[in-house]
Amino acid sequence: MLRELSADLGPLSPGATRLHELTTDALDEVRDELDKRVSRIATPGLPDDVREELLVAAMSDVEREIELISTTLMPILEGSASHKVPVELEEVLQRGVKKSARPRFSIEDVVLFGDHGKNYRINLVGVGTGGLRQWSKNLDRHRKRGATAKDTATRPADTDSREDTGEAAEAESRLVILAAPQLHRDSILLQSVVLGHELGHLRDWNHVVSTSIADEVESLTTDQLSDGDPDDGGSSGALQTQLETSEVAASWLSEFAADAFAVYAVGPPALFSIIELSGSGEGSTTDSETHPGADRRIAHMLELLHSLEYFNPAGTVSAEQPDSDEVGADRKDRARVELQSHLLALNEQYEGALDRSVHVRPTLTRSRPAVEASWEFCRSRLAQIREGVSAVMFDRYTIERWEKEVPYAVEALARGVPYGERREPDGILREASSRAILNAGWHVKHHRLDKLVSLLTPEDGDDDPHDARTRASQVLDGLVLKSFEVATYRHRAVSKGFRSPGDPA
Amino acid sequence: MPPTDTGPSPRASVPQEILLERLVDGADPFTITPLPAGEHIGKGSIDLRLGTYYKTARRSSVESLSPDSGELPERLFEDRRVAPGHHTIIHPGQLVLASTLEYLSLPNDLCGIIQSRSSFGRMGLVAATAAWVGPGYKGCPTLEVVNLGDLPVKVTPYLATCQLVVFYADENDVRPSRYQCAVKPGYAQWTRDKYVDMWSPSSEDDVLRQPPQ
Repeated sequence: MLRELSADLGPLSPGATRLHELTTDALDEVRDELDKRVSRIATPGLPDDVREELLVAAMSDVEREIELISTTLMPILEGSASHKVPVELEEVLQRGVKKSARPRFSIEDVVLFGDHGKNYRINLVGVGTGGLRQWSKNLDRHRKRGATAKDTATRPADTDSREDTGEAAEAESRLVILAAPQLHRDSILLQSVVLGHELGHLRDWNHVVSTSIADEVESLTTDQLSDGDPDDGGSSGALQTQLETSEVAASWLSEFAADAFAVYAVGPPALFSIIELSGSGEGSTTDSETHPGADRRIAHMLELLHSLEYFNPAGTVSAEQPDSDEVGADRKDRARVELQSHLLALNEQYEGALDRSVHVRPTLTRSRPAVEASWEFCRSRLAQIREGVSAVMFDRYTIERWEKEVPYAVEALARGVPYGERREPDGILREASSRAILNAGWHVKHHRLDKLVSLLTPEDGDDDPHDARTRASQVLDGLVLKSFEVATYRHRAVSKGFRSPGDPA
Repeated sequence: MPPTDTGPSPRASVPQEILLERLVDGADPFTITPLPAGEHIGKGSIDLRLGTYYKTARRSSVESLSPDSGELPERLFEDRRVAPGHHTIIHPGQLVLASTLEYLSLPNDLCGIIQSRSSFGRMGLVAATAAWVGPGYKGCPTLEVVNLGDLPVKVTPYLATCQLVVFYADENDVRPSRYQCAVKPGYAQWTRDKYVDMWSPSSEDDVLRQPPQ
């Protein structure tokens, strides 16, 4: 498969091309290592049984390494083919990664791949310290110490992509591997925002927001954790509960922090995507080992949107008097009122979600007291999470910015035209912000889809209304995708100094 | 046909300065995005670029295609995307469905015809056969790129391969396109043709069974 990809590198993104190169390097290293070991095994005078043992061990090592590459890296490469992911998003994601990077990381390439599963994931692979090179070094070190081949086989390199919570801090270069379900291939609005949440994890790790708070959970005493649990009498049980609490709390805090980063980065769509993914059924109120219930996350994000002045729960929806000198004041007011009404309705719907008791599935692998203690801990630290995120997130998408660009983008998308470029006040045609595109896409989906339906359906058409809305949603996703492509095109054209008709002389 | 005192005549080509003026005016419903560079807006025509999505036929055991094939053609064509900066090869005799980079939104008073650029044609490539773009059309038109030459041709996304010749249209002549708002190349959406269907064997039986009027 690697050869097939080599013959057809066109469909691979820059990040995937880099991963492809690294995988090829890794396979070369395995091949070189095998050659070296075979040549040593061929040394005259070595007893046959030792020779046989070394050969078996060498083959076993190689087999393991190749299996590791096949099961971890190849599915990523295969899934990164252009027809399995919306590759137009990669440049946007790459920019997001750059914004969240720590200064000492010189290169962070994004690899977006379509996964067969249904979950979104982010993994970091430290290229400088991980991979097959490390395995090779370990192997060499063991050999110099006189270890047998059998010993080296017990220390395989960790080439598995893993969630990095800061331990690979000295790496010079990393790959940010983002998995998105292939099932959502054409749901651009959904994918792009959920990937924004995943990038929130990256920011969280880079700025050590949730992990610094999660460390506090370990200071909770065993007595505190076992309080009120009659089944948990022994100290080993309490210790187990403490460990589980620590794990669950760390995971939940990480989710709350990523949500907060996503809200600050893109605004309301961060909330809408969670609502769409969780649905309205039981799934939305179920707390799992890794994620708090979606309703809690939504309530938390609504608090953040309130702090960013997107809506005021105490007030009523009102449109300011349009400024007659301002072009498009009516459309701005209409869009803002629609958004505020929507957020107020959601705020009412999810009121109390942060106060409800823990609701878990019977298949939970952690003890219920641990989950309950985790929630109590997380709940007491939500404000701290928000403050921590706020302290490092300077580029917030506020309602003022929303008002400046989103209503115009909404108008364009609702009349079936992509919004990838806009004339700036200085008269130059520049790319539209990806955040405006996303916000406008969700806004049209919630409030103006009927306009798209009427555009797509002939007056005498007898289309089923449900089918017509489904088709309009698909068209909207296409328009958003095209908007991203146009924005990327315009960004590059402007940065190269190309002028557009209408630009000032 | 030049514009008359009572307004432009339908089918008169639109002058370069009007094209520029209308495209730059944000309030005008005539939109092309990304906006072509000034040098690509000519006298009555606008250069269009190849997009990044392609549909190419895969080898299969299917003997032939026809308008009755239903969704079969969609399954026979596979999607490909060639990233900007990369290229793909179109082999002699190969049909590739592509679309333009530019998204067109034509108002009701304009229509157009898409034609291959001659320099492209001289390499053997014909980029557009379904040339008509009606008033009110929105989307990235699908280009049927065929290599009629003897040599493989390398193509790159964003290559200006064809041009839209713009004409004034009769505003009463707006008919919604079946391919409205498409951003990727699409295969044919056939509709039943009653004038073909009336010759089908089953239809003939029905006619024979009917008593003469």
